[in-house]
Amino acid sequence: MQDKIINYRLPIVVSAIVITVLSLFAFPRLKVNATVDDYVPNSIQNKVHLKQLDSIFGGNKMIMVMLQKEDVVNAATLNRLSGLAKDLGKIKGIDRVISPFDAQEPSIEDGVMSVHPFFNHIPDNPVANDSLKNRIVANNLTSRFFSEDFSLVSLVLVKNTQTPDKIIEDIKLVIQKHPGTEEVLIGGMPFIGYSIAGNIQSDLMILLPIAMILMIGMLYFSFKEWKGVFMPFVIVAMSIILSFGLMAFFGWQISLFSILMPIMIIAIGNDYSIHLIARYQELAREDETLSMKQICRQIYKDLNRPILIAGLTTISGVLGLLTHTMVPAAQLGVLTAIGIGFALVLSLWFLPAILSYFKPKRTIKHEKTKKSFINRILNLFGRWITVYPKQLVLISAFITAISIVGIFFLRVDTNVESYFSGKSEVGRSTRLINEKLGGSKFISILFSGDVLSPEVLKRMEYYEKEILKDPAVGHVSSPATMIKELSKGFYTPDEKGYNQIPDDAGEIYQLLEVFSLGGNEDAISQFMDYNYENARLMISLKDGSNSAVKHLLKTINALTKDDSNVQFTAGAGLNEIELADMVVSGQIKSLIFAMAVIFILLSFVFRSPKAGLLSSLPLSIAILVLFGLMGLLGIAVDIATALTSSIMIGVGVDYTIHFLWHFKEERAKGFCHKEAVLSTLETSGRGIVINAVSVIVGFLPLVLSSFTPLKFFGALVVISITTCLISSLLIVPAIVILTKPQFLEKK
Amino acid sequence: MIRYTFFILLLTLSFPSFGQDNAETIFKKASEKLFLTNMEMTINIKETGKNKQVKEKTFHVLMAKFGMVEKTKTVIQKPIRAEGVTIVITKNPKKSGLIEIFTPANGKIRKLKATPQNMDRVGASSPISNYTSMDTNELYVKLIGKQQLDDKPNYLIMVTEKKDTTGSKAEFLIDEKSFRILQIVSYDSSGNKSISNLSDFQDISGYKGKVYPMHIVTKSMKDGEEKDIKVLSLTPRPDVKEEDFKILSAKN
Repeated sequence: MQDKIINYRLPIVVSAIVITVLSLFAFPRLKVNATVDDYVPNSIQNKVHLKQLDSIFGGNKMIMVMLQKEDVVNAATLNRLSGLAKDLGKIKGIDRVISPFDAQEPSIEDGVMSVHPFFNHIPDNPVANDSLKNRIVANNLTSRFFSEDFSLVSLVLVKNTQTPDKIIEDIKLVIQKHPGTEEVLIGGMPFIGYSIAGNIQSDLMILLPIAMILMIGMLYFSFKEWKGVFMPFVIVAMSIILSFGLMAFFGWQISLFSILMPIMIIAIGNDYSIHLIARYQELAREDETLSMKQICRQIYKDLNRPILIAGLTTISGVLGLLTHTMVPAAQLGVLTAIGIGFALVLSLWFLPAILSYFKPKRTIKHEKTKKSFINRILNLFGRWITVYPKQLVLISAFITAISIVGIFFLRVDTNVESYFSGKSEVGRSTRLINEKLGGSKFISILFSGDVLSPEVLKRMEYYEKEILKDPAVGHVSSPATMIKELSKGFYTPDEKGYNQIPDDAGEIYQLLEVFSLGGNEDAISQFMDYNYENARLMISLKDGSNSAVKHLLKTINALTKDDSNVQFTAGAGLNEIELADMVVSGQIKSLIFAMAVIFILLSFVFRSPKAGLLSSLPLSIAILVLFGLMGLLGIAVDIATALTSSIMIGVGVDYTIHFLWHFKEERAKGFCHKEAVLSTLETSGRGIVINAVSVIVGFLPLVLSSFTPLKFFGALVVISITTCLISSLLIVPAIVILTKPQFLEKK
Repeated sequence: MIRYTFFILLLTLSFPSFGQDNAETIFKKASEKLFLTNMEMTINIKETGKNKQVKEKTFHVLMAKFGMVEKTKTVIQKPIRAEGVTIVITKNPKKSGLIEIFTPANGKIRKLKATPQNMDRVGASSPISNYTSMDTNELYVKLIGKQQLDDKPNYLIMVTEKKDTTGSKAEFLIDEKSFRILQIVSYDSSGNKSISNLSDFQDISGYKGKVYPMHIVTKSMKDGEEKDIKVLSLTPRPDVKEEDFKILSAKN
């Protein structure tokens, strides 16, 4: 095969370039999809229920526009808000604007009830402002738009379901046309979606070049030769282009997960070429008479099998993501696997083919004798392994045991609000909405049947009171609240019936009919359908974390379990709960899949199940340390960090494979176990360390991501790869010395 | 030559006002054709909401003018659970209008100011009366041009209220021969458009030349809401008195 590569080097190089260029042509078809809800399969129950809610009550995606100032109750701020409410309502795609200016205030005139707009005029002096504040506090319909300390006032824009989140750009333009001294903040799920889309693009534009630059620096530092930089760089770049090209070809969209794809290819895809370059340098150093063509044939002959096995195990590990229920995670698995596969093929064929055109770099004498930093570390490792093998195994067992304790503290959180740091625009607005305005995420309880009967409404009133006791809940509203409010327009405060649900269904119906005739159908349609056959109780969440929402769901289920009118509880917030369950099950499934594939593959390659077990050991230790650390440090398992273990398995197993492969060769040369370990560390160890460092360097830029889960993901990959590396270079050799396994002996 | 130039100049200067007079005359003729006061009718409204859900309502309506004061009394007949709910709207050019609502279930009367929003909603059963019932002196009327409808030529006239500051306006499509209003395109203060198609005109007996559209279909272009209004019966009531608009019988 090595001869064919050299003989057909030109067609190999041309074919690789043609495939890459063709992939580039597909790039214009790439699209970004940042809607996290779209990542959840359509079949899940909450999504089905949400669709049902949308069909009954219309779209319910709300955007909040907030003005923040020390004191917002003043003429300038309120006039600005009023202007914004009017102009934002003109934007195509905004169904309606709900603002404090819609609120009405009942009063008694000439002995008869009358209702006026709350803001008949906006006062412009401090005394009148204070009196206005008192009126705001007393009016439920107005006070919900203001924070308790009057530092925040808001508008709610109801977005049409078909309108994309890009409408935020139109909103920003309108805000620009209404300048003022107040800080304007935007919040709500569509804004989060819009920000995710923007951040995905900026992350790709920033992180990808940083990862590339770091990789170049690392390669140059390791090989001190431009061929050592150029070859892995070109292979990685071509693999990324192919994966994105295929993404466009399949019609898949760029998701939050897609940011990981090029980073993973950069980190993993250059490993194979690194081993080949390291071997080329070894050969060029050892025998100065060898020509480049001879070296290229030799490096292929020496490394094609371990590299192929390492590549296949990595691909298997990454393909573990296919078992994930979230479609973008599975797509990430497929595309990354293809990218890595292409990098593997390019490393084995394209690299020797193109390398054969260059001249080998001959190392000068003092470089030959000088021991590198990596080699000095590996020598130290060698001493520890050969002198203290038992102690090393015991220490690792102890660390693993501590990690197991940490796993019990592990928590799952898929709340999209936590994707952003507290200092970001989204982070700040989310915090303000949750702390001061009762939250922007809603869940609904759907009631069907005779929803206007006093019994059903009184049950809703009771549920409202009970649910409001939950600390995660901001506001609770239902037709019961609305009807009580309507009764105020017909009864005086001293009359029975004031602020009460009427005992007669006919009266309830007439109150609503009159309210609807008064131009308030939109307000009714939030809670009830057109013919009053369905109604909903709406709960806003000021804490959208999984644990808080799960606790609230338990409360709701306990409250409503015997209520025949209650159909289901659903909401965008609950999608994330199901997402969390999927993340956990996806994680478990992909771990089992990847470990099983690796076990089978290595048992087959080394013709022994013991080899499968031994190769799985560093991975098992690294997985336990990873999850233990996450538990102890309070890092949640989320949609990104959940992928860490699959990636670690795919990448980390390579180190053990390279070690075991070379160790077997050393044993075949007649070295004893200890000598074979020392020799393997000195030769293959260097490649393994450079390989691991390149992965770490590749993933490191993720700590600069705009998304908190990706930052943690970057940090966790660094930790887990380091653990894998240490396990492969310390624990595996120590166990090999202690157990002297048969599968590493020449038959 | 001087006389000729003077004639051309005079003709040019007076051209816009000819157009203005023409538009006002057309609009006035069309408005006067409609029978809008001192009458009694029963109307059925089929409302189709944003989510394509349908609701049907039947109203009994009484309309009259007492000097400058216009009154409309609407009594809900269907849905049955809202039967008897009565709304009386009083429009007085000298005072702010009033909407009185009576709910028989609790025997209570509620009074509301006749804000444009509330008036729009309560007066939705008769969108044609918004501008046509007004004095043309209170309106800006402009002939935009001509437009075909069912292969027949029609005048297209834009009307705005002089005192309006919100930007609301309406475009009337008026039959060139019969001066019947066939279509009204209304724009609210936010520029949202709704289209009302008027058809099935019925002559009013005893009032020569007066007609009323017995079928009106209004569609909101913003949210797709539709109202299909059918006039089930229409009777002129020259005998109607102010007492007929009083809300009677309270429970308590």
